[in-house]
Amino acid sequence: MLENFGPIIQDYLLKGGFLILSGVYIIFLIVVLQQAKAMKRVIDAGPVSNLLIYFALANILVGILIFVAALVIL
Amino acid sequence: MPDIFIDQDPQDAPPIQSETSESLEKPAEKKQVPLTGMHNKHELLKSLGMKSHGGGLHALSSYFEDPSKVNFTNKLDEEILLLFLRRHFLTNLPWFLKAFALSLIPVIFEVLSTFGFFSSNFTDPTGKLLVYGFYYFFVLSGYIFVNYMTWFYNISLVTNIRIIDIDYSEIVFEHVDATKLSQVEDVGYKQIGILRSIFDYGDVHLQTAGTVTNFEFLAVPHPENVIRIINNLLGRTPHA
Repeated sequence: MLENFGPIIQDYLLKGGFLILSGVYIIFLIVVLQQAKAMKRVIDAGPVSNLLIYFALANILVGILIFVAALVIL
Repeated sequence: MPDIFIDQDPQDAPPIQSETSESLEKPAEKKQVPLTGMHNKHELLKSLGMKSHGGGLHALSSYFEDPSKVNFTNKLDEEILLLFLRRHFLTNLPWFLKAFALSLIPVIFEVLSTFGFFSSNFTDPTGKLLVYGFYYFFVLSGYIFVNYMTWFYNISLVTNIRIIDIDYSEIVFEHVDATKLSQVEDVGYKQIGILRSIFDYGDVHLQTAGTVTNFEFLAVPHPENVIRIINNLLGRTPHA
């Protein structure tokens, strides 16, 4: 009977591990965004500084998208 | 009858005008442009032998003269930004190659699994796509973006009043140092290695007076130009 639980546990481990990893990664990306904003305040090196902030923001959105997709698909 | 032979007092005599009189005088001193005052900006740039490019930096700029569109915190009203420096773009090559190698890992993994070295069926195809998608997103945003940002915000600035060094690394470390030009005592640069000689970049060292931190602009392009400009500025600054 325990043999049937093997793949289920494996699936849950994969899903749980992936969700934790992507969740932690989203937090890291939020820190990156905050730092991009902070550095822009220290030195505004033209339009590229704004571009970095937008890219960091886009990364967070993609990260959330992956997190939600993992929640549904895996 | 007036005595026409009375000699004139030499002190009252007008100076003798001749073509050689100017050449005997001391040579005229070169006009020193004051370091402060925005109206003097173009004169100052010209006297330092610098070019004005209109101020616009691009995403890969590592050496820029007169970056007028750049702003930094605590900028003084009469402060003119003269030089904007970053590490040479070539110094990004190591992490760029590492990112390329990292991006090949899933491909190698899949190729090896098709030859039967090991199974890549850890989940269904949709799940696998998601895991690989996350991996590439991780490499792109986590590794390339953070390394680029670290390079982008490691900046050194030379103004008509100060020298500013902004260090930024590992996302959470930022360190800003500034010193007045009058505190700078010694300037020098090092350019060792084939790549540095070919692409003309090197380390500039600024020794400052007393306990003030010494400055190092590492791997900046055209170090001899940087030294020339700073030396010219130091020549005009009254030392403390």
